[in-house]
Amino acid sequence: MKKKLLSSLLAMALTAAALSGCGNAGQTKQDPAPGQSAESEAPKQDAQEPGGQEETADKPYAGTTVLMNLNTPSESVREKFDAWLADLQARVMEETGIELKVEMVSWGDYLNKHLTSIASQEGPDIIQMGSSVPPVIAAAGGLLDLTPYMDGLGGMDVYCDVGKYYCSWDGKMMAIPWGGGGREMYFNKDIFDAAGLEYPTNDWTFEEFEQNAKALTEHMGKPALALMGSANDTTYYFWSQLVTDGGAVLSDDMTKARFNEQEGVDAVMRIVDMYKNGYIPSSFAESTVDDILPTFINGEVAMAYGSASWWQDLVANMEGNWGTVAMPVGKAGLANGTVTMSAFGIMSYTKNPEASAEVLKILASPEEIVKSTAILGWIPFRTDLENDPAYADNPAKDTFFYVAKESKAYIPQYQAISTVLSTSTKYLNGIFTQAVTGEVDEAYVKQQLDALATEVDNVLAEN
Amino acid sequence: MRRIDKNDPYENGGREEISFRPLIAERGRLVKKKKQKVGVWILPALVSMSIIQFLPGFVSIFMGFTNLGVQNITNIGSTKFVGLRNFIGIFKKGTVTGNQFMISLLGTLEYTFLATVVTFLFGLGLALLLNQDFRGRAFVRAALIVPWIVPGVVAAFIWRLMFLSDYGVINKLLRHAGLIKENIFWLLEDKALMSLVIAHLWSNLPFVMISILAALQTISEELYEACKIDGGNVFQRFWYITVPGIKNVSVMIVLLSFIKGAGEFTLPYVMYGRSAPPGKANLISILVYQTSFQTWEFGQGAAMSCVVLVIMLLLAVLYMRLAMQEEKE
Amino acid sequence: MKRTKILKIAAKTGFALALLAYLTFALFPFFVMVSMSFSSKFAIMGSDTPIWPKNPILTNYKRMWEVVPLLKYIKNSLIVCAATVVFSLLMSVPASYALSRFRFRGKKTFSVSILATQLFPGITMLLPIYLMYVNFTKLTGIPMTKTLHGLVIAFATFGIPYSIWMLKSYFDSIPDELEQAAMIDGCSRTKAMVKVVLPLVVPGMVATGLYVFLLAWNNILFAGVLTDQATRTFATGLQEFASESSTEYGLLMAACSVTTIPIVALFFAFQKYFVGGMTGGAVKG
Repeated sequence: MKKKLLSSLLAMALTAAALSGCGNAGQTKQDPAPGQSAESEAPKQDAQEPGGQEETADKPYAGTTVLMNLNTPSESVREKFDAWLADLQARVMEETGIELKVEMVSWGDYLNKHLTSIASQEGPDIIQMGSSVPPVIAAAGGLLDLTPYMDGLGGMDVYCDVGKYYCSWDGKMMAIPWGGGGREMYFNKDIFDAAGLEYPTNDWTFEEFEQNAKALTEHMGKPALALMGSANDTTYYFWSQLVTDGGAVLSDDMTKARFNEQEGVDAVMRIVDMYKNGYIPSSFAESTVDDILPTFINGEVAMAYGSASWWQDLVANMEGNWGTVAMPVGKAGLANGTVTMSAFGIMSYTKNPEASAEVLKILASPEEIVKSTAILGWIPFRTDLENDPAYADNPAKDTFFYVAKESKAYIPQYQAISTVLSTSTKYLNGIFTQAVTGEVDEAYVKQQLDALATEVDNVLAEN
Repeated sequence: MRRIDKNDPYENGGREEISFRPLIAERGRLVKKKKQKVGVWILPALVSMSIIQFLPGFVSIFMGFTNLGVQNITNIGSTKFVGLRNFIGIFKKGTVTGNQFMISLLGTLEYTFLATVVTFLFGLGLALLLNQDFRGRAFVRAALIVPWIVPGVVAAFIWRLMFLSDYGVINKLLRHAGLIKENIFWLLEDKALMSLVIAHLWSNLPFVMISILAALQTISEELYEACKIDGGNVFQRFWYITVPGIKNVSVMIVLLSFIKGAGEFTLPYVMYGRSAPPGKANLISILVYQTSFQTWEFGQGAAMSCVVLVIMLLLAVLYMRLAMQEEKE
Repeated sequence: MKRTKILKIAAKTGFALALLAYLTFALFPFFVMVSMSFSSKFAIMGSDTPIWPKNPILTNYKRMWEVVPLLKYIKNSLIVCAATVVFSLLMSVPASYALSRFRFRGKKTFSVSILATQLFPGITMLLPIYLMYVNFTKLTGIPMTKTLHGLVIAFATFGIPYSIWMLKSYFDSIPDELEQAAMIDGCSRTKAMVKVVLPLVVPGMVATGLYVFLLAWNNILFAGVLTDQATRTFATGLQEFASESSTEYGLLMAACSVTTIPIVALFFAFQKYFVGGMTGGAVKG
C-alpha cells in the first residue's frame, strides 16, 4: 500500500514538474509578443523622448549599457585588437555616455550563441556575422532593420555593391559591412622564378592557369596547386568558376538550381581534370583552410586558393616572396572570385535600439573601420576608404578591390543558404572524393549535380 | 556467455553472489518489513533529473511535432502543432533530409556497434594486463589515462592531423616502414568510419579499462588461490572467477559505450574538417546539429532525435534483457 | 620442466609486447601533441616534417597565456568539474543503492527513463534547457546562464544516469549479506550502507567520479552556450585559438600539454583507490 502511495506521489511530482515546465514554456510563448511590438515601435518612441533617461541633452543615452559580441580575431593581432577595443569603448563613453561592453565569442560556436539569444529574446545588442549569416537571422526576424539609420551610418552610397548585397534582406539593410576579403589565388614567386614562369595577372585566363599548373607540377615533381576539398570553400570555388564561365548558381528569382547546366558540369570537370592530371595533391579532398595555408607557406605547393585574410600570416612567414591574383577568367570573360566579409547587426530584441544605433554609428565611422580592419588584415567594404594609406602595406588589396568591383560570384542571399551551401559542399566533396579514389566522368558529374539540384530545388520550394 | 556446470566445484566458490540469489526475491518483503522509504534514496536524483533532463526531454519530443524553425524562433508562441509532418519529412526519399537521415542512421548504428565492441574488447584486455603485478605498474596505469584527459576537440584535431593522407604522420610512418607505397585516405569514404572508431577507441579506452580494473580489484585474491590449488588452469580461472566477477560492470560498460558511441559528436565534427563529414560517417548527432543549429529547423531536428531515441532505446533494452536473462539463466 | 620454462618466457614476452603495443597506441598521439606544441605555427604541415621538430621552440608555452586567459578558464573548469562530481555522486549514490537493493514500483520505468535521457541526442535538449534557464531567471531573478552554478547544475544532472548505472553495478557485486549482518547488529539501513557498503565501492565511486569529472571537463556544446567570457571553461576556451581562417595548432597543443600533466599527477595520487588489497579481503564475506 505504502509503495503504491509513494509511486503515485512520484508520478504526481513528475507530472507537476512537467506542468510547471509547460507553464514556463507558456511564459516563453507570451514574453516575446510584447517584446516584438515594443521593438517595432521602439525607435520612434526613443526618438520622441530620448531614451526616457533623465540626462543632459548632449548625452541622451548616458547610463545605458550596450553589449556587443565580436568574434575572436587571429592570435597574431589579439593585443592590437584589444587595444583598439579599449579605445573604442572609451570613445563611445565619451561621446554618448553609453557603456559599451564587449564579449568575445569564438568562430566555432558564435552562431549557436546568437541562436539561443534570439530564441530567448535576450543577449547581446550588437553582433558580428559572416557573409552568409544576415539572411538567416533576418529571415528569423532576429535583426533590426537598419535602413532608417543609414544616414547616420554613412549613407547607402559609400558601401560597395557586394557589401550591400550581403547585408540586405527583403530590400532592407539588416547589417552594416565591416570588412573582409576575397577568395583568390596565392602564388609562390620563388617557385615561379625557378620554373621560369611569369607572374600571373588578374586578367589571366583559365588556359593560362592550367599551363602554369602543368609547368609548375613538372618543375616541382609533385602537385603544385592546392584547393580545399572539405569546406564551404569548395562550393565557393565551384560557384565562382561557374559564374565566370557564364553559368548561374540559382535562377534569378531563387526558385530553381541552375548549377547543373552544362556550365556547371564543365566547371566541376575542370577541377576533376586538374586532379587527374596530377596538378592537385590527391589529399585535397580532405583538406580544409587549416591545412592549405601551412602547405603553401612551407612551399609544398606553388599556388593555393585561399582567403584574403591570409596575407598577415604570409607577410610574417614568407618574407614577401609571394603574390596574389584573382582567380582565372573563365569562358564568359567575367572576373572570378567569391567575396566574404563580416558585418555588424543589431538584434531585434534589443531594449536599446537607439543607443545601439549610436554605438554602431561610431563603430562604422570611417576612422574606426579603418583602424579595426587594418588591424584584422581585412579590407573595408566602403568605396571611400579604398585608397586609405592604412591599407598600403596590404599586398592583397589590389586583387581584392578588383574582385570586389568586377566579380559577380556572390554567395546568393537566401534564407536557407546555409542548407544549400552545406548540401552543395557535401555533393561536391563526394565527387572530388570519387575523383581521388575512383573514376569520374562527365556523365557521373552530371548525374551528381542533377541529384544535388533536385535536393536544392526541394530546399528552395520548402522555404 | 556463461554456463553453470552443476558439477563444477568452483561455481559456488567463484561467485558468492549466486548464493544470495534466492534473497533477491525476498528483498521486496524485507524492505517492507523494515519500512524502508525508497523515495528518500532516489528523490534527489529524481528531482534534479526531472528538471534538467526529463522536462527538456519532453519539451524536445514535443518540439518534434511542431514547426519550430527559422520562421518562428523569435516568437516561439506562434509555433504550431504540425502532427507527423516532421517525421514524414525525415523519411521521405529524394529530399536533403530524407536521403541523409537513412544514411546517417545506418552509419550511426554501424559505428556504434563497432566502437562498442572494439572498445570493450581492448579495454578488457588492457584491464587484465594491468591487473597483473609487474614493475612500473603504477606508472603504466597513469600513462594510459592520458588520452582521457585530452579534451575531445583536441583529440579530434590530433587524430585529424595524424590521419591526413599527404602530411599525416601515420602514412609517413607506414611509408617509411615500407608497408604502403600509395598514401591511404583515412578520412575519406569507407575508411572514414574506421578511422573514427580508432580515434574513439583512443579516447574511451581508459574509461573502459579503469572500470573493469576496478571490478577486477574487488575479486578476492583467495578465490584465484583456491582455484589454483584445485588445479584450475588459467582459462578456467578466467572463466569461472574473472568473468563472473566483472560481469555486472561489463554489462554496464557495454551499455555506456553504446550510449557514448550513439551520441558521438565532437570527434566526427572536427575530424573531417568541420563541414559535412563523408556519407555514412555523417553521424546522426551531427545531422541533428546541422538541422537544428545550422539550418535552424528545430522541429525537424527534434523529430530526428525522437526516431533515434526509439531505435536506440529498443536496442539498449533488448541488450539489457539479454544480459539479464543470461544472469537469471 | 624445460617446456614450462619456455612457456613462461613466451608468456612474459607476450605480456610485455602487448603492454608495449598498448602504451604506444595510448601515448603516440600524446607525443604528437607535445611535439606540435614545440613547433612553430606552420611547421606541422609538410611532406618531410620530422615527427619531433628539428628546432623545438618554447614560444607557444609563453604565448598561449597572453592570447587566451587560460588560467581563468582552467580555474573555472576545475570549479565546475569538482562541484559536478560532488553533486552528481551525492545524488546518484543513494539512488543507485536503492536500485541495487530495493524493489519498488516504477523501478523499471525509472531505470529505463534514465537510460532514455542518455540515448536522446543531447543537442536537441540544448535549446529547451537554455530557455528554461532564462525563464527561471525571469521568474526568480536568480541568474542561471553565464554562471558557473548553472553549468554545475546541468553537468551534475547529466552525470547522474552514468553514475547510477555504474554505481548500481558496483553495488550489485557486493553481497546483501553484509548489510543484513550489520542490520541484525542494530544498524539502520542507512548506517549499514554508509558504514559497511560504501567503503567497498570506493574504487567504483572514484572511477565514476573520474568519469563525471571528464564528462564536464570535455563538454563544449553546453559549456559554449551557457557561459560567457568570464565563466568560460577550458575546453570551450580552447576554441579561441581558432580564428576565421586558421587554427593555432601550436598554441592549442601547448595548452593541452600543460593541463594534461597536473591531471595525470592527480590520477597518479588517486590511484591507490584502484589498487588491490584494500577491498579484496572484505568482499569475500
